[in-house]
Amino acid sequence: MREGAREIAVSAAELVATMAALKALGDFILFDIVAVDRPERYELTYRLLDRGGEGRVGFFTVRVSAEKSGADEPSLPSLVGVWKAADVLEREVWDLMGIRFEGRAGLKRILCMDDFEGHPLRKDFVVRRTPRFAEAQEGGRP
Amino acid sequence: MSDTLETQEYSLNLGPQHPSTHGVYHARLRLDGETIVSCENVIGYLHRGMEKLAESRTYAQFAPFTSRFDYLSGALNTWGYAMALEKLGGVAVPERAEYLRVIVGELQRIASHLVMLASMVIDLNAVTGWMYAFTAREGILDLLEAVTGSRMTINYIVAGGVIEDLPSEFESKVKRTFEDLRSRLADFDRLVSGNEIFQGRTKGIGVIESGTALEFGMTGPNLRASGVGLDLRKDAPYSVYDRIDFEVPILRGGDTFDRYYIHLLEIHQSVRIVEQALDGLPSGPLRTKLPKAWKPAAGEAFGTIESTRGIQGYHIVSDGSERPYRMHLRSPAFANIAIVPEIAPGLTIQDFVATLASLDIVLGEIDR
Repeated sequence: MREGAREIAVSAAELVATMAALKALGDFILFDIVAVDRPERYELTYRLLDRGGEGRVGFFTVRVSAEKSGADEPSLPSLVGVWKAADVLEREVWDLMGIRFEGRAGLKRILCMDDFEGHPLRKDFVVRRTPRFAEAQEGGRP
Repeated sequence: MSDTLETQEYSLNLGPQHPSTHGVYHARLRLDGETIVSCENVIGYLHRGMEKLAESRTYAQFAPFTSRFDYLSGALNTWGYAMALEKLGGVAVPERAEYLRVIVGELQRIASHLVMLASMVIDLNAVTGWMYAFTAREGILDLLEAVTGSRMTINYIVAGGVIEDLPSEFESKVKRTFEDLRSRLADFDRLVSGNEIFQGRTKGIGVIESGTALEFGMTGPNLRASGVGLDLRKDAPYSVYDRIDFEVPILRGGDTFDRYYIHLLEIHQSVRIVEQALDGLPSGPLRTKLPKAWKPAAGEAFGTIESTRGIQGYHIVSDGSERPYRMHLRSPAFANIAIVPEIAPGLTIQDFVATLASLDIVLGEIDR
C-alpha cells in the first residue's frame, strides 16, 4: 500500500464534486459503499480502489455522514452520474439501510423483495421469527 | 410475405429457475425475435440477511457463515473474514499458518475454476467437457477434505491462523493429484478450447471493454480477460504471496472465450503456487489462540483478498463488545453481474447464456 493520506471526510454537498475530481485522476474505481447506523447519524464509507502508482494497488476512503433529523429517510446525492458501479451499490444501501439517494432513477429494492417493509440493517429493525404456515392458518397447531 | 407480418417485442423471464442461470439469478428480458433489446437484473432470491445475522453472533460464531457466501470457494471467504478480524484486533499469524492458507486457498481456487469450466461448457451443450472438469475437481476436493475435513463450505482458516496441520503423506497425494489434473486439463483443453463449434459460440461474443469493466467495478478473472492486470496477490501482496513465483495471466479480447480461457491458465498458476508453498513450508505453530469471548477494541477494519471471482472485502466495525457492530461483505460477483444489462442488448438468447456462464457468478455471494 502506498503511504500518505488514504482517507478524507467530506460533507454531503461536496460529495459528487469530490468523487468526480477523484475519478478524473484516472486511477480510481468505485469499489464499495458501506453504511453504518450510529445513534445520531448514518456513516457512509465510500471505498475506492486505487490502481495507480508503480503497479501498487491500495484503497482510498471517502467518508460522509447523513444526520438523523426527523425525516425517516435521510438523503445523500447520488453518484450514478460519476460511476455506473454506484447504481447497484446505492440500491443496496437504500434497501438495507434506508438512505435515499437524490438525483437518480430506479432507486428500488435489490436484495429484499419488493413488498418488504422496513430497512433490515437499521439498529431499530428487530428480527422476528416468521410464523410457520400451520401457525398462520386459523385453527392451525401452535 | 414478411412485409405483411406484424411483429412486436415481447418479454421473457430467464430464471430464477433455469439451469443456465447458475442458481437463482433472474433476468427480465425484452426481446425482438431472438435478439435482446433490454435486460433487467432481478436478484435477491437467495438473500439470507447474513449481515444482520452477524450482528447477533460472536466473531467466532459467524466465521462458518462466511463460507456460505461464495459456496464454491468457501475457504477463500473465511480467509477474507479472518484477515479483517486480524487487522481489527492486531493479531499476528504464524508463518506456517500463512503457508497453509495459501495451499488451501489455491486448492480451493482450482476447485472453483474447474466448476466454472465445467458449467460453462455444459451450458454450450458440450456435455463431455463437464465430466472431465468435474472428475478433476473430485481429486482436488479429496485433498481439501484430507486437510480441512469438508469438501464444501470449508471452515479451516480462522482468525489467528488455521485449525489443523496437514495430514501425513499429503505431499505425495498432492503430487499424484496434480499429475492427474494436468493430464485431464490437457485433455479438456484439446477437447474444448480448440473445438470449432465452441470457438464459434464464444469468440467475439459478449465483449466487455476494459473501460466499461472498470466503470462497473469489475474485478478478478473477468477484468483480467479484458486486459487489465489487477490481482491483489501481485499488486498488494498479502500473506506470503510475495515469496512465491507465479504469473498473473492477462488476456486482451474481453470476450466470452477469453473469460473462459483465463480460468484454464489460472489453474496452472495455482498449481505452481501450491507446489512452491509445499516446498517452502516452514515449521512452527499453527495458530495464535484468541479467547472465546474475544473483544477487539472499538474501531473498524477492512480485509481484502483476491478471491476466485475478484476482490472480496470484509468491512467490520467493532464497538468493543464480543459481537460485530456491523459486518459488510463487498462481493465481487455482485459487481460483476451488474454489467449484464449493459452488455446484453444486441445479444441473442444463446449468446446471452454463454456470456452469463463466462461471468462465473455465484448467487450465494451476490445475494448474501
